[in-house]
Amino acid sequence: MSKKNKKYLWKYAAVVGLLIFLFLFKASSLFEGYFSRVVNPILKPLYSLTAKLRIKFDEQTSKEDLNFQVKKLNEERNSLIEANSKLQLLEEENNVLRDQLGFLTRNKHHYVTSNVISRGDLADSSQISETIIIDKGLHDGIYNGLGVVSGNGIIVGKIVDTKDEIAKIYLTNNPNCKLATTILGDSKTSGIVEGELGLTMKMNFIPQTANLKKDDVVVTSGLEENIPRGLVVGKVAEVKGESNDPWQSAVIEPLVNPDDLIIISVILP
Amino acid sequence: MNKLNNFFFKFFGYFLLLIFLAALDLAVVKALPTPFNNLNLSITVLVFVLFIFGPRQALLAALGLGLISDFYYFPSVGINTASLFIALVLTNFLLVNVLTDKSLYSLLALTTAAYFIFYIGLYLFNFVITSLSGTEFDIIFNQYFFTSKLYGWLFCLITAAIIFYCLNYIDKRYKPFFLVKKNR
Repeated sequence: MSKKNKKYLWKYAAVVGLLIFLFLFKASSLFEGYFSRVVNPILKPLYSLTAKLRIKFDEQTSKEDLNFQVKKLNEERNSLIEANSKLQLLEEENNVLRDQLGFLTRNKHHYVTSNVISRGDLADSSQISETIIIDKGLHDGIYNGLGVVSGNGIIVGKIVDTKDEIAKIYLTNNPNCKLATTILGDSKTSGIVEGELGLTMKMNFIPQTANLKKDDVVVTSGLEENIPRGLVVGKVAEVKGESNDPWQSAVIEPLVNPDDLIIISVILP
Repeated sequence: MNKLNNFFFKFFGYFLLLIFLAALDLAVVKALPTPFNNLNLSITVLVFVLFIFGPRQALLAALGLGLISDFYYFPSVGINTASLFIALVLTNFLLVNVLTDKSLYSLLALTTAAYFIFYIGLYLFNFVITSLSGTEFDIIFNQYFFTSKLYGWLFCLITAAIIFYCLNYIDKRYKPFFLVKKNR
């Protein structure tokens, strides 16, 4: 290397050192905020376009399973129609009772809708997305610990880190994402659901006395600060545990494919 | 005045190019299906810049790309900038002292070196930061970790070869992969 280049090398090293210093003391956050405001609108359509292409690609490759899925979904739809009619009756009855009791407030959440602009993290442990980055941050009222739902109201993750204009979300399949939940059904068991190897979720330490069934719906219990009760997490796919074990565990199947997320909503308290 | 204008346009042009590259890396490559999302576009392009334009331009580009990556990285403490810098300095050392031949072999070897040095640096810095901040080092060294890095390396090599051949098509100064045997 020539003497001239060596001189430049030391200059660059000094600049890198200075930048690290600025990052450490958060002096760069103002510039970071302005920069993100300019670049986020570029990232948003690029990510959305590529993600849509990926979803189309995945759909093409999984066509073989389509017939089986249609059959299964038809059966599920029929049972849901039946369940829905029962629920409609209950809703009407509930409305009448609420009016009578003078309930004025219903549990309406405030949302901040945002776009996914990037995904992936150094700590990801599987092929499926475990972490995403969205284009809203501290300036939009988002902070750590808030719940994140997909378009159809299913909880998909939690805010774990925020900057002025962006935020990082651990999805429910991430081993570091833990949610306080309840299993709907006869047992009403409560517990912590956490991601398992990026593929599914698991719920541990369920008493043997709890009567769990496959397809039982798991919802948030409301015991966790900032995460409201009743948000759907997933369905029980498998119940594990020998009869002589004090505890059993359940494998929870997510209802949303983490790879398909493009727009999400952050629930504000 | 003209010189100043030229400098401004040059600086602005570089800045836009770096934003475009970072946007491609953050929003397009990361959104691709697995295993294609393991490609590290920044490293591939930076090694190419080092190979063609020299260390000064490559280090300048590394500074810009590292900075943008750190803006979108949690926690942002400049570890992308530092890792890219170290990777390029060591790759430049290899280019000057060992792989002086400007052929595809050299480019692929340099890309390999830069790719692995960058990730070693990134994980080491990450380990140091998590240790200093008292948080848990949550990286799992499972089969996925190693296969994703291998896929990333493979895609970097393929991209580098494609860029090399595109350049070779325009400019014949760089040696092609297969040497043509003449008069035999």
